[in-house]
Amino acid sequence: MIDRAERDATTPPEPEAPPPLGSWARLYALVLAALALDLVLLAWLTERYR
Amino acid sequence: MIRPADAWVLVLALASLVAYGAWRARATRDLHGFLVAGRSMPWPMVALSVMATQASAVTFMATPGQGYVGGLSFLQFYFGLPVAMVVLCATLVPLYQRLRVHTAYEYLERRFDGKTRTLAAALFLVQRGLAAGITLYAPSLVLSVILGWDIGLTCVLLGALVVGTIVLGGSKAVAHAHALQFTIIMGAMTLAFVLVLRELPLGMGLADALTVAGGSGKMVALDASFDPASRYNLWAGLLGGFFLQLSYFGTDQSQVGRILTAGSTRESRLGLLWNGLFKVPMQWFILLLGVLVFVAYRFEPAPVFFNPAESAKAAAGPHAAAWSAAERDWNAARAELARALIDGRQAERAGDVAGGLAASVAARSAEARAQDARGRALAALTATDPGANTNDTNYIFLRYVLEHLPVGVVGLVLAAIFAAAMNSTMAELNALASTTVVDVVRRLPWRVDEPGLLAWSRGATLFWTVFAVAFAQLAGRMGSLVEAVNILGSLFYGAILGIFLTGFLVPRAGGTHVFAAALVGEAAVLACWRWTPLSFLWWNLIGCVLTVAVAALLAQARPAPRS
Repeated sequence: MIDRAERDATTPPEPEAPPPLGSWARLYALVLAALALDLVLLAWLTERYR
Repeated sequence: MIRPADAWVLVLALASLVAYGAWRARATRDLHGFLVAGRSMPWPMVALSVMATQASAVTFMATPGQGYVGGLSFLQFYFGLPVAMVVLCATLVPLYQRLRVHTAYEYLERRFDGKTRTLAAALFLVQRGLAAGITLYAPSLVLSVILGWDIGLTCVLLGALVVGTIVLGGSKAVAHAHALQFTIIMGAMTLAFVLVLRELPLGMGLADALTVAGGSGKMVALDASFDPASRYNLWAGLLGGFFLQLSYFGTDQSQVGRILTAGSTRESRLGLLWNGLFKVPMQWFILLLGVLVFVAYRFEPAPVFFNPAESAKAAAGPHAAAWSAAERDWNAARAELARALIDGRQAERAGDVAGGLAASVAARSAEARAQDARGRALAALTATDPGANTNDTNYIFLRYVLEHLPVGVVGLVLAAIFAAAMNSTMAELNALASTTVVDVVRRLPWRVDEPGLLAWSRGATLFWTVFAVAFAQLAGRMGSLVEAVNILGSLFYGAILGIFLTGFLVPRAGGTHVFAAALVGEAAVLACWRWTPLSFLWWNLIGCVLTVAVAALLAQARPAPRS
């Protein structure tokens, strides 16, 4: 296992495929925007059925 | 008692899961596979495994119960999760993947020193070992209720089943089993949701049910008021919850172990972001199921206490007369409540304002009498057995499923609970074994070879199972299980996260600084738990901030020598 771990550590990583939407920043923004939308919807639901 | 058809569905589903695990287990013959599944998992598997690890049987059984008792307010607990996923993807995930670590705590030795790594690993082992006891207890509760088995014996049996699978399969089997388990659990939940909705009287739809639930304050999913003693509100969820989730996903080996099964940083990140995107809607759905059960029980007889074993004890005990009187009054008040609610619905449809008001007054009066009767029933319960658990949250959903859902579906729901229990416990035990071997055994003065380490991993799994089973005997006294797991985690997460964040934020801090700071942070959290009314979500923030701040101050006063 240790040999394998050492080999892992020394093998140069293969180039990764690009993230969906072209950049990680856009994906992060999408997740945060979804949270904001969730909060708005939940606030509306809370008021609607209070 | 479970019906034969349900028993068949349960046995078939469990047999499929065990067979699937065994089939996957055949490929795991080395420690690398046992610990991180050979770093071969694509992101959908990582996403399902991460979600399944967090969504244990506790989630499936206790969260609808939480929805029944407290409405949607528990959802706020998850508000910090998406932000935590983004922060983790930008910071710790690429670091872990670059360093090719097997546990989160390996990073700490590279950044600080051996004793800091040992401290964080020890905090994790204690906390997760205890939490594993709760995740083992939850499904044992199911079996003991259905079959009338002794709960202690049931814990031991389930522990044996889980340990057998994990010792054979390791991390890879856990990841594959998670995908299947998560599919079963969400399928069973969706089916239960549809069937509960169809059970509602008077042709009520979802909107009508939400109106009834809203009338009882069950639809408050967002409370923006700032009250440090309030367990669930927007700020506790966003701030305290953020630190809790950051620590859980970024430094708790049961989740880091799942993230490390990915083949690359990209796969790990996508798995976590998927979780960030869907966790809040998923939990809303599960809580709403509990709210629907609450609405369904408004229109039909509900037990005065949902734990049948405790009820039977009280009914046969020395305070049986008081119990029976309370139960009789409860049933009468609840029947009146159902009538008043039906009258109210009919008056509303007919546009009869006066009739609606009268029904509303009658419903409130019946509700007050029902609550009074339940209070007397609980008093009879504790008078019969002073040690009796008066919290029946965890039994509510299960009781509804057994008494209302059609044959076959009951077996499927039970199978989902068992599958969830097995796989979340598997992930925890796999993480406990990994940390024990990588952070303790591999650092022993004498060298242990790979076959020896694999044997140690299996031995450690056995040890932690016994530890979890022993602690499970106490879990029944902890109230709502879903809260107990998170309260327990919050006792330790703040200091652990503080150690990791110090590594990022305080470049001048050395091992001794952060070690001392973590002890201060942990002591402060324990003091908050013992002597303040502060809600548990804030403990994460306090432990983390205090650890980073004290480490920064110590580093400022006595900078560590540069290595």
